[in-house]
Amino acid sequence: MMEVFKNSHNSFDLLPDEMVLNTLSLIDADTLLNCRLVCKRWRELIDAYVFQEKASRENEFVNDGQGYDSFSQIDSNSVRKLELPWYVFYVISKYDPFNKNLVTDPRINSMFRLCSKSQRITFKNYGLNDTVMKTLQPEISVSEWYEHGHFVCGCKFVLSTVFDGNGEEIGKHNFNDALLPGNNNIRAKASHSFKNLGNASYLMVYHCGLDTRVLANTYDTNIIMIGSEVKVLLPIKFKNAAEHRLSLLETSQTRVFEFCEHDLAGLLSNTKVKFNIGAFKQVIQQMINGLDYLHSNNISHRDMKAANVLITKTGTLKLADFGLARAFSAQINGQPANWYTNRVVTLWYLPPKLLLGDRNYGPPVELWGSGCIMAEMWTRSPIMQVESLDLYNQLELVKGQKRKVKKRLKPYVRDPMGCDLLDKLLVLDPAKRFDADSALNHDFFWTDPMPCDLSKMISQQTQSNFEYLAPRRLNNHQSSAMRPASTVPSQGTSTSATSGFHELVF
Amino acid sequence: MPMIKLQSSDGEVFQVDFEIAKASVTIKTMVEDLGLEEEDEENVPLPNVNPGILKKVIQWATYHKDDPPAAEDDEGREKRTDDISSWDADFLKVDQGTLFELILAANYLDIKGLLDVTCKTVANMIKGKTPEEIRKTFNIKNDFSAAEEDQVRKENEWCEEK
Repeated sequence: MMEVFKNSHNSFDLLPDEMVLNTLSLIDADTLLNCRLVCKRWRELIDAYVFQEKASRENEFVNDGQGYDSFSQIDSNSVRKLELPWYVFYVISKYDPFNKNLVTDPRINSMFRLCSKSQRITFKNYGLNDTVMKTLQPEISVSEWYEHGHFVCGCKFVLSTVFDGNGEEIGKHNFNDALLPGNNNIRAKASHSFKNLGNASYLMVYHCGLDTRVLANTYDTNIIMIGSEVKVLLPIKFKNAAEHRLSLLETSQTRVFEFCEHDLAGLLSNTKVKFNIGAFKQVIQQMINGLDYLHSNNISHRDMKAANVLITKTGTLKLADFGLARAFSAQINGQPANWYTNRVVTLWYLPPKLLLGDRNYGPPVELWGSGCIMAEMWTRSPIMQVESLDLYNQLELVKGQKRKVKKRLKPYVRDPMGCDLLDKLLVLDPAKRFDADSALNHDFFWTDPMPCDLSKMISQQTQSNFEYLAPRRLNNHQSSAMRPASTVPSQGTSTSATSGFHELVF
Repeated sequence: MPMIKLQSSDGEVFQVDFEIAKASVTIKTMVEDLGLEEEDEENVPLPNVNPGILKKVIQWATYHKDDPPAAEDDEGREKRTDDISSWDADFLKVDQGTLFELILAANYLDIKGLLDVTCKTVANMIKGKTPEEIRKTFNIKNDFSAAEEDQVRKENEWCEEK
């Protein structure tokens, strides 16, 4: 493995996202900004977890009289003492309502000229669609800054109102009270945060007050508004990413810690276990059901393989080993949002696109995996076995080949419907691949013989069937391929969730 | 003293005091789960760790065997990176490839102390560098287009000012 590093190799490519983040989280804020410029993967990672730690607390410092006028003046020691949380953050908009597009009210004389402007900020336009808002419950903060200010009471009025998709008002704040009269505000800042407004759709900011330029001329006060902005803080705590993930899973049907008596790989390698077609359907249906549930909760499993499909003695199927599971999101600003490491998923269940290094992937990966598992139920051994990627890298890929999925699998899969579903799942283009929902609607599950209860068949098994207990399976594709021994400890024990990295290094 | 046999990726077997090997949560759990008895002939397979790295890991664990158990994670606190002991600093004077493999191994073997100190070492290699210097240090390809890079710079300004 060492030779790899000698030449022009990016060492970080070796590390899974979690480890890169672990390292980046140790870096001071200034260098972190430089790190954002290093490459796309880093930027994604930093933006997704680490970036906003500082700015999110800025408001409190500037306003609570600690004498900090900007966050950058706070040295790293104070930051340490303050135990700041790590937040994700978006700056949405910066606007200066008093410097252009003034709307003046002619009824007021020039000295007390009133001006007003309203601005609408639609979150969707910034990649924050309804799903993101609902899932992450971001904090929306509206702030304004003034310089060299000596405020006259009531000279300024800012109203920000949050609306939901139906135009209903769901949050409102008036800045009037934030700026006390007579204070010698040098770089004053007013801000307000809206919290727990998951159904927020847009924000209206309405400004009205005396034209500060007029005031400045008249009273020699030099109030200059230097900017205002809307921030959206997505409260994912960096440190808790793992716990967050687990608590999400615990509320789902798929429990990680439950003891299951068998895993599918073990059952399949035990030749004494006979499946009928109804049982097949039941297993596959339950598996895709589980995936569907995860996907509809925006979780991607990332390590589908027969050994991770556990079956209890009552015949209930459970997906296990969420060590690699990640929340996924839709595209943000047209950029692929799921820039994950491509070093996940046991190789044999990887779709070709990933093997070729694609890093923007999501649920379709698992549907490919489930297709592989499904075919495996008939062939009783993984259908696409490779020992390492070495061979793969040497291959000249032939383009324009006709697909032969059906033809190759027909000798094993006697059910024509099953063959058809397999054909739909093992599609190279992830966009054309069936999603979990359409797979569940496939005729395979709705024609005779219907999926039948597994419990009877499973209860005949008095011993656990785990992959690592099973004799090495017969291999009808490639004589040299062997199961990687690294799957050994991760099954059926209470550690399966924490030891999810076994397959990461190969 | 009970010994345990660790088998690296190429099959080489290392005999280690179980008290030392216990620094790895992965090995500890593996031994408990597989019900390996002390004095057992069975090897603990570590197919993801090559012998060179395993040797380093054992060396580290042996030196740190009397360390107090790591304190619970300080929630949200910015971690220090300047508290690497001089022994660790010497220990980690290795080429980059080895350093990154140590991170992977520490992660796989679940050795928190080693993971911390290796990540800190890499973090120190990044600190205070410009993007170009960072790319050069780690051989990272700049995959931003000029326009994208400008965009990121602009976003950065938001955080730098005020």
